[in-house]
Amino acid sequence: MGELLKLIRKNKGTKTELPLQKKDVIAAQKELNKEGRSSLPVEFIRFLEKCNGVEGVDSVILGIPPVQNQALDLMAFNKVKNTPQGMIILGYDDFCFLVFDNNQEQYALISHDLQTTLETFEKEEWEDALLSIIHFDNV
Amino acid sequence: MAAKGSKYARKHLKEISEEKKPDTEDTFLDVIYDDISYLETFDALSLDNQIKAYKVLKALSEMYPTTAEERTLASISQHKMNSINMRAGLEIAQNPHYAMSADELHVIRMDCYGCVDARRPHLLSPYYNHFSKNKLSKPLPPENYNLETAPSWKIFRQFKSFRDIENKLKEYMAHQRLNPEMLKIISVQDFSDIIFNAFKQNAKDKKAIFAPSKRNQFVKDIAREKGDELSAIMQAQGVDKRYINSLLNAMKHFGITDANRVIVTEPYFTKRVLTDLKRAKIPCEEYNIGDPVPQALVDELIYADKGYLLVAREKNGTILDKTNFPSFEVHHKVAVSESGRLGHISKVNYRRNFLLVSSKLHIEVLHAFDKLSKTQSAETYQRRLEFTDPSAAFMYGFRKENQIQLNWQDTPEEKKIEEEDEKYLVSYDEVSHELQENRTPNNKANEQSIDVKIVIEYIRNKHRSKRG
Repeated sequence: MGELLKLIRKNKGTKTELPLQKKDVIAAQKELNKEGRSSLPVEFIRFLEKCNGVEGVDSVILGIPPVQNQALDLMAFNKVKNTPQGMIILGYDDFCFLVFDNNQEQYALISHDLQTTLETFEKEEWEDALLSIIHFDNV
Repeated sequence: MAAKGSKYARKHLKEISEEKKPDTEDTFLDVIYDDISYLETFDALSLDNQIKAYKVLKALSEMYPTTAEERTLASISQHKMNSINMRAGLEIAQNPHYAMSADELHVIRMDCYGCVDARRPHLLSPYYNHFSKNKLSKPLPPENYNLETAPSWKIFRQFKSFRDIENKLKEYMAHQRLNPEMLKIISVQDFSDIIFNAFKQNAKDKKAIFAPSKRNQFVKDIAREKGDELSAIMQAQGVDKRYINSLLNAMKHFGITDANRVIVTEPYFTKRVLTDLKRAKIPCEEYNIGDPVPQALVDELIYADKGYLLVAREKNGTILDKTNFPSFEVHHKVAVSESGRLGHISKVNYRRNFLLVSSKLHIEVLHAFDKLSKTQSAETYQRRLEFTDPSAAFMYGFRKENQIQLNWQDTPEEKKIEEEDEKYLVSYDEVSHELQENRTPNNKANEQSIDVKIVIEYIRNKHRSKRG
């Protein structure tokens, strides 16, 4: 976790949201269960407790509402995208979504048409998964 | 109480809204209620409210109507949305869909950002692992690494950015004493690992930059070629001029398009700026309060990571709040998964197929319609919002005057790259077949016949590590 946060903060301009509140996590998990979507993995919540959403270059890691930047609202985004059951979108860029698949218990980079899996990540590889969706300045 | 969406409900709501004189947050509803001059009403809204209205129209047009009134509402909403789209030069396209290979998508993504993430061990093939462990006793000259013998490299070679790094990769492989025989059988992910290791700066790095970002290059090009028009469009929308100038500067130099990353600088010397410069021992004796800050000084300080010395401030001395300044993102006009329809997958990352769009419009509007659908004959179609004018290059609103067109297709530079790329066109099926052939034991092309041995070794190691 330390390495990931260090890298995010090192990249100037990569904006992060304020840490997450526990009551908001409970509300979000309840709503996700009600909608039949995947619940949020524990390690991802731990990350959000440090920074509840990240804005990179043309890419984001979503956060649990309330968030200052509405584009980072994980709940709203998954509703609009009508994410398939058992799955939840955690971030995106112009190529793919980073999803957590509850059935497979793994993270995956999936094309926007949800047809092609570019990469999968085991639960313990969650930091690599989050890094794979976020882009930093390459100047 | 009137049913939601019914004629009465709409009329009732309209009456309420008229009585209340809706505040700015609700004005988007007028587009829903006004069936005659809705385009003018839409135009008068702020971009945020236009997006709200657009989303409501979309939701209404897609609802499942249960009554005749709801059917009418859905149909009117559809009509309104189509009119807004048409005027913005957009149409909902339905194209036959052919799923792309993960390898091709991975390579297109690398090409776009000029960057590759560290490859995790389980992504690498047993063949590559074998050769990484069993190195040559002596290094060979880089020329011995003939990339033409590598089927997987043919996927990369279709892109100029990867052709440009071939020599560096050969040198890296030679230095690492890798056996050139591996080139015939290693995978796309294996090559990505080679690229990552050849270009990473430090042992602990998680990402490696191997080429200039195509995305950033596009941003630089549009800012250089259409800077004045970009500036005029933003000024007409009431954006702070200091931000516009700083944004354009950040775009031209670095390809930066996000307000968070832009250092907004003062256009004229202030007392505070001159004091800060003096304290930082930057020569500024020749300048007085009110003199324009020379662009060369702005660039010099920004490159030296000292842009903060010129940072723009409010009258009360606080740093300018950037919260409401517009950010932009780069959008692929042709869906990456539809790259095949361009005739060559590398073209999806050509600057003519990029669009710089307001971050607010990007996901909420341009990607709002992305959907796959299957017909009765089991053919798959991809629905997507596309531009009717292929030269669309910038979008900061729904009206044409908030957009910029740029025809890059006919420039000699673009044509040259296109001609060169076409020489390396390859089909993924051919590559897979060739790779498979090379990996087959007893194939004469593969004199070492290593396949079975390597796979057995790989499986054994895997079992050992699981038990351990």
